[in-house]
Amino acid sequence: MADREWVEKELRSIIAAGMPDKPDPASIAANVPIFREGLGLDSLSGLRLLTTIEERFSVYIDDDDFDVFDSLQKLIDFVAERAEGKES
Amino acid sequence: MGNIKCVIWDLDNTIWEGTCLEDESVRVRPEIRRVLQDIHNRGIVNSIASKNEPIALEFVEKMGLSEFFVYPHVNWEPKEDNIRRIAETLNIGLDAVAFVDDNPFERESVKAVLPEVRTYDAIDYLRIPDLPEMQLKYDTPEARARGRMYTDEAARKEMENEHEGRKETFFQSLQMIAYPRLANAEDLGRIRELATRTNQFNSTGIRYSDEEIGEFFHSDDHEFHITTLVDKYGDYGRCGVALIRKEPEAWNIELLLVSCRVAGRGLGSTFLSYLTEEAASAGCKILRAKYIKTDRNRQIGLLYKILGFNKDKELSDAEASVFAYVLSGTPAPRPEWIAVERSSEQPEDAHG
Repeated sequence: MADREWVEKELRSIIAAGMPDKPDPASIAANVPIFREGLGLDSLSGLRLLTTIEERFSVYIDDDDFDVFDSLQKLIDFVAERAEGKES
Repeated sequence: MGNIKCVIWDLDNTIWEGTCLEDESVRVRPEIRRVLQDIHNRGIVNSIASKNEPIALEFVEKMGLSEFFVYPHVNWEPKEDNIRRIAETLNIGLDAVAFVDDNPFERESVKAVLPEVRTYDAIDYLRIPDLPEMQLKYDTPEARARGRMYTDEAARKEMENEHEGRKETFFQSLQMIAYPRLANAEDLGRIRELATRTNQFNSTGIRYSDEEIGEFFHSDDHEFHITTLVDKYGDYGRCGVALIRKEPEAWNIELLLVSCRVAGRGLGSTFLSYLTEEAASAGCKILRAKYIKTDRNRQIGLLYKILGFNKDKELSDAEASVFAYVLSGTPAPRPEWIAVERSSEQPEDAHG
């Protein structure tokens, strides 16, 4: 288990960087889909997000787990549960 | 080993004899123009990685060779970094890159860091176009025009960088039009070529042989759909292919290929959305898509998820996943910045 607050803060800034209009990370809604009409990421920026998360937290997001992109909240839960500690 | 898609050249003592910063009267190597032209005609892109002052590019210009080179990198950084950047910009794998340099140190250091890159001594430059890895496997209009397409793409990228604001606005300004349709016999060469060359946007990574593709084409329960893409900068040619296995109430996308040169523009969604419409009008209740994860195609899995395909856990196994889209009247969403012209011939010159 990793520190939730840390995971959330990291994820918010990773997602904000991948969004078309680069919003303030703190302003991102936690309950809308990450893709398309939600936060507006497409499959290419989605892939960047996926690989960045995997590298940053040493987790693996299989295609079985793609539902985690249904909201930031789900993504935080998923990563916080699997990632180990803060970064080394 | 696969075919080369890009040849990256050193300049001093490679393209010309001598060092341009020391001797302004450097002369191009005999027949280098013919060599570059031959390579270009085979749909292989020429680029530059040279440790030099930017002024070296003026020599290239003066010698009338600039038209052959895309994304030249002239700076003092390690060549392996520049080579990696060129491959990324072109969206090709390093195993499709050739590097030509007279200096054994440069060749060895590239080989050490990027072992996939094939290196050649500049002394052999005349033989390069004749090497087996430089030959066109599939002689299609798209293959022959590839060099020009990358030059068009360079112009687009430059525009994109200059374009302020949202990506959508930029994409709108490109006036993209897709022409999806049922494939015919004239498309077979291009289908085979895409099936061989496409890595990133290849839904299964299965390399069907030319014979297998021919068999699918003639089989009653399979069909190929294909799409071209045009924008105001040029014609990308046929750059999306789907192999459909037809059942009475379901279509199955056995293979989906989108050329890497149109990656990131929304053509994959556009094509899939078209396929949901076609399947629905053929009376299907469901459109399924097979997905086999490779180390390079995860974007496709994400795309299915984004478009509302859900994993069918019963049909999926350890080897392959099956995603399914329920055809309930609404086609899969597609980006608004690509116009779709269906069941019609693409005009000769779509953007005048």
